[in-house]
Amino acid sequence: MATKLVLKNCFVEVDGVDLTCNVRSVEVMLSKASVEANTMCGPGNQHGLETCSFTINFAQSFDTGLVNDTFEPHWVGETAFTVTVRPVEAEPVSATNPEYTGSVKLFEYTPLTGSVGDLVETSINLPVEGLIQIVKE
Amino acid sequence: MLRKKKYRVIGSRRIFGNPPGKVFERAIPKDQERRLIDAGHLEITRKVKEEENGNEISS
Repeated sequence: MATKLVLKNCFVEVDGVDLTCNVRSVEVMLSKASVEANTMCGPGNQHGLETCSFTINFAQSFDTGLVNDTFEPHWVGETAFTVTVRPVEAEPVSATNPEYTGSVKLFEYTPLTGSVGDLVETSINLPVEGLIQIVKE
Repeated sequence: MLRKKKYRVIGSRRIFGNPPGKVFERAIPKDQERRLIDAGHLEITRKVKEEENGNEISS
């Protein structure tokens, strides 16, 4: 019988730091451009450039070494860093627990937003530079 | 070329999959090493510090 995955303990590592316990939601987006390649023999499309990204919603923390401390240096320094995500933290990387890794840059960062009484969250979109790696072993 | 060094995880979060308190060896780029040390995640083990300072190492 096929199993259905319920996200409970996704693994999220940013620049080597395990930020799993501050993650509210995560999205790994794999995308390739569709390039029109119509010919006299009929319509067609070809795969174009790959544009993948991670979108991670964090429960913000300004504590030493946590969310803001991890992202702010990359915002200031405009440096690339690595993001790694896999569905189940407690299990090793495998075909049934693939790990997605990419080198990303931070182009937009909202360190603080919210209303009175709200949990402070920050949603960060991280476009991947080059190709995303899908590791299965 | 990056050289492997020994680090100890001193913060509360796992670093490169290593739990707090663990000593591990890894080649970390200089700027990333600085960020991880400045953020209180890692320390370079004493032996590596002494090597970098050119001191004689006692085993």
